[in-house]
Amino acid sequence: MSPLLSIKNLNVNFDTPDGEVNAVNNLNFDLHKGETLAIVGESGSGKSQTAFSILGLLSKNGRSSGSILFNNLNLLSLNEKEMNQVRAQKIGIIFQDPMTSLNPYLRVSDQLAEVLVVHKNNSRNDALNESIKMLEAVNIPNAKNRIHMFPHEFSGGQRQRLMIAMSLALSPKILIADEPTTALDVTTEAQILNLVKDMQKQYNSGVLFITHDFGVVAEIADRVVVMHEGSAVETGSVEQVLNKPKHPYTRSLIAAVPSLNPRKARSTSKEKILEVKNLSKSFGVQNSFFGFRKVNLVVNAVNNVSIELFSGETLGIVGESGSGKSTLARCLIKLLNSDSGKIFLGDVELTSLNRNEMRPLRTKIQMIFQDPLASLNPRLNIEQTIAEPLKTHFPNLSNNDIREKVISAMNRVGLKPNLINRYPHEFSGGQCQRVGIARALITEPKLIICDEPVSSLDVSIQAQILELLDEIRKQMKLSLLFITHDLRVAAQVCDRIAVMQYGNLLETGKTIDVFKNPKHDYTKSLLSAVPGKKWKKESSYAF
Amino acid sequence: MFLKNNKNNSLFNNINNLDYIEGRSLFDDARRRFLLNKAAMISLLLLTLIVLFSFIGPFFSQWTNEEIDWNALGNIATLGKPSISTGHFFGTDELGRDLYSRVLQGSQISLMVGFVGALIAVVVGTIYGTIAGYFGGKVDSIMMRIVDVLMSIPYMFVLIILMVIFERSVILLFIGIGLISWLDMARIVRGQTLSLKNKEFIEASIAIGVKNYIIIVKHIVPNLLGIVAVYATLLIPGMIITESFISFLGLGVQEPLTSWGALISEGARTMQYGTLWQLLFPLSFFIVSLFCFYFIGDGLRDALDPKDR
Repeated sequence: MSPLLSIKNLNVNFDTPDGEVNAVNNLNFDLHKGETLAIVGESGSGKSQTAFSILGLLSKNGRSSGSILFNNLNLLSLNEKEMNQVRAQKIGIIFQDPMTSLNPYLRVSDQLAEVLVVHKNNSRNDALNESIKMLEAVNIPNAKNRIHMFPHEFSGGQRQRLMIAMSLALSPKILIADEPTTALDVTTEAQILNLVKDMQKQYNSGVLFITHDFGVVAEIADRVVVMHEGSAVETGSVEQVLNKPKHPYTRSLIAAVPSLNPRKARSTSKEKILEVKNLSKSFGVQNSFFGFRKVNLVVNAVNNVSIELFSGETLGIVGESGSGKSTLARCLIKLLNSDSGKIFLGDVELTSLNRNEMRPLRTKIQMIFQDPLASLNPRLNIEQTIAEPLKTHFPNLSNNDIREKVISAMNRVGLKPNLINRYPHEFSGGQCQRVGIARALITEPKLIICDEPVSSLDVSIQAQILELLDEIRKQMKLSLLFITHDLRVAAQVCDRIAVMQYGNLLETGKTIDVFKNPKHDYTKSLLSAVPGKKWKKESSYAF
Repeated sequence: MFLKNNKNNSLFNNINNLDYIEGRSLFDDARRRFLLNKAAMISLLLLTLIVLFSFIGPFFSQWTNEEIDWNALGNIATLGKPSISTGHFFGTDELGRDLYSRVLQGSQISLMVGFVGALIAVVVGTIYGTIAGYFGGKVDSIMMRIVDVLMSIPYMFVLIILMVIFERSVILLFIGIGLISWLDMARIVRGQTLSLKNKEFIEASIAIGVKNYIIIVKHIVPNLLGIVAVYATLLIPGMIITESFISFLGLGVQEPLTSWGALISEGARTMQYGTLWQLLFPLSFFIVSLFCFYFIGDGLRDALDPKDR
């Protein structure tokens, strides 16, 4: 059987002010009917550019050469008009962020029916009826009424369903999915992956699934192409690549994926470093006129949460977006003032302190942020950034002492000290996160709150940062409050886990207990939704 | 604003003699892009020449701006023509005064009005806007309502009344222009501050315990400088035009002082008597300078925010 799509010697180059950059280098693969081919790679591996060149969507400074054969038609030789026909009718695409592909000012019904009216010459009424059927097919409840809503009235997962419905409207032969679940919560992700699987069976189409997540690969793929710096380093069946990887790069990538088997619990001391009692925080959606406020709608972001953290322990706070885990962190470090409840750091109660009284305590409690680049001031160089806590809390230090301390902190987080004059935009994401960690460590705190510190990093960098955090925790006898949505990371990092949903704390317990015997239904559904849970992977790095 | 941060160099570099890798700050990048922008660089050169000329030029003039050439007075159209031999390089005005000296004097005043207005806008607008944006809540509401109220006053009308009640003077003109120039700037800066203050690096500084005024000075203002600089360069020509308009109406600067607007107004009145140079010389200075300011502003915008093009 001849393949549906055959890519031969594909090269993609970009003209940039710094010269020509090669994004995809001599790529070959086939996609067959009824098959899901996953392209896996870290950022910058060229996986998305491959998809864009198939669809002729490269940005203006990009050029592709080689051949992309589809029905004996070389897609690279088509002009824009011919390509449009192929794009609409033969190849569907789903992007990472569905909101960018839906027009926010048009009703969903208009956007969906438009496709059918233009390409199938349906009448307006038929198109609408068919659109409703499609929405039902992608499991959108109450499709008949909701089809007249605007895209922002749907949740993230539902928007992704809309996109799937739209891209499947003309029953294409090929569906290209570019990281379709990366922006979604794990339970929604599982539903979308199931939907893609069902749709594929129903239409018997070929799916090209681009992802960075080996869990997703294990869940959905038949065959896998592993890409690294523009080249395919390994191609094979999913069992072979995941369980017996041949290429050293694939092996190192898979080794970096945290296992879902929780690591052994450590014995921790009984000294409480942090105790939170009945903490609540709500946000009002406000109307304001001349500063006089009327609260209209109240959202309980954190609702009556009590946790405790022992010295030397890592407590994970796990939950999906909107669970209030970040709000909790911001209340603990007093970026937000909580409404009620008590926070004890050691013996000191924090909620009653004002800004000035809180200041000296901030040397003991520090925070690491989610977005490494955004958490560094772009106008300050690395030394100025790392030295800021010192200048704030120890204004009498000489410049020489400060530099010495900055350099030792940089050594500790694995940054070369001669990078001291560089600026954040000259660093990679992993390096920026190291700078953020150095800044948090420099006052030698007792407790560090990590707000999704690795969720925006590639899997191999993620492993390095997690190892670094653990090493530092041991050396400096730190306690960590580790906020994450990724249960794989939580399993490897945390001693105990607290599960949150809609601002409520559902259960707390030793990681191994929560993973093996979850008490709450929501915890169960979270655990069962983790992609690739059937893929038994041995932990290759443990803390 | 393109001054490099010299702090690092002043630090003692004697800690185990490392080969420090030079960093490339965002301003370094911007300066490089600006220097590559031909239109902006030519404009900067031209403008520098105009500014220098307006201050050095008087040393070469043979007439002061107050002297009246009694020879030319009766017959300006022929004897008051631009000529090297009479010493009137740009000719004379209707009263027989040397136009070369008058244009230079006018250039000084007009440029000063522009720069002073922009300076007030930058200083007051930035401080006001950052405070309103950073502290938010009631502070923000009250401060911005004040701006709204000031903005809704028809300032041109008020300025003209002020000019009529008090004596017409340059100082009053500066005050009038200064009072209105910072309002837009304050709004722009406030908006930028609002989006900046929710960035994670500001949160990080608060978590560290940095004091508010240091956060404003060290983290917010440097990140605003780009947009402030761009807006200020585009504000200068606006100020010059406002002043010229008031002077054109005959209300701005008063004799013996003059400005581009006043000179253009006088020149335009005598256009049909064959003394066209009286209009063309001040007008060409006016137009070339405005063009330069706009090109520099565009260049700065492209250099400071390459994504916004």
